[in-house]
Amino acid sequence: MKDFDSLVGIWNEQKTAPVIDYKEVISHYKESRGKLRSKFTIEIIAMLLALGVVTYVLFTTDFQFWTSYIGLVIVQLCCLYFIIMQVINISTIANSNTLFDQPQDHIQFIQQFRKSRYVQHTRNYKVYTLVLGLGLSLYFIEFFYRLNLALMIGVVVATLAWFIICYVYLMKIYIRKEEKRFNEMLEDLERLNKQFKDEA
Amino acid sequence: MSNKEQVFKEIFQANSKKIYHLCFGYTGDVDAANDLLQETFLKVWQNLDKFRNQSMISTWVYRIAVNTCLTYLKSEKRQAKDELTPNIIENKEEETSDKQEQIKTLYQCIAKLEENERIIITMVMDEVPYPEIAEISGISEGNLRVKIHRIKHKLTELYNQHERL
Repeated sequence: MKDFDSLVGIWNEQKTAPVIDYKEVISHYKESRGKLRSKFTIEIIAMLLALGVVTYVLFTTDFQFWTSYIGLVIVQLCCLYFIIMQVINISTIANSNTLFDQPQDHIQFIQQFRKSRYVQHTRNYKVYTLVLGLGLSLYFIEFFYRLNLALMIGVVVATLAWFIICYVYLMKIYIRKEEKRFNEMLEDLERLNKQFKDEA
Repeated sequence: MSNKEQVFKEIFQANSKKIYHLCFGYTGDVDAANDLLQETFLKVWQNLDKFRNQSMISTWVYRIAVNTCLTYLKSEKRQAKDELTPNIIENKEEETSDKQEQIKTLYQCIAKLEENERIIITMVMDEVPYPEIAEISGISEGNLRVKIHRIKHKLTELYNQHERL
């Protein structure tokens, strides 16, 4: 039979030690910060380019149908939405200093942040896909009268197929996975929240 | 070496071992403990300027480590392992001595505690003063003392049960 002091004695005998040193931490920080920054930069630049192309087409092409203008404006709004959400996410992460807060406050921040990410990844993404699909559909109306029939059918079928695959198959799998992860996470955070409540 | 690096080196050397114990006690896994330690000190490095005027730097480092542990478990969905891998103890090539067996058993018992209990007890065993543990965990000192008393009892029971097997 051992008492707690004996366990402390055992604890003090341990030789467990970290395998990293401070230099590794500094170099890892510089490396990972660079990677993260370039990932976000590439995503935003790609979307800005797409937005630029759509804007250019919108202002330089003389469309016969008003639907084309509406369609392209909707596509522009989708691009803008994507960029704004990326910027909001980056600034939320960068400005969150809840690491210094008490565990309970930090847990609550993480809960809220994950909830908002979950809504973005599921409900908002669904709406985003539908709105983008609507924009492109409106834009394609003009194609019926401008392109030859075979090419038109090819473009419409390819676009429709892509949307159907995304919406019916890929997105459902993605949302199911997100839901599972979210529910597990919520359960864990709620349990931790209870543990850190200031009551003995 | 820049002044910032020098300050960081000092903070790392003064705190890394205890923070590693906390991470190891929390996860029960060597790789995860090293990942968590690295993540904690990445955040320390990132926020070093905010530390400069703090009198109790170790409290802030601990606070970051605790918050990092809690978040890490959620994101990676790692759970503390009941069965610890044999290489948890340094110098694994050495024959497993009684002492090492006892340390392994102790970590196995810590892994059976609740998350906040693991965090608190590793700090107690590393002799972090009670007011500092209260500050880190956000639990009032009075309640903390009661909690610590319960955790000590629970851990001792678990250890003795394990030894009887």
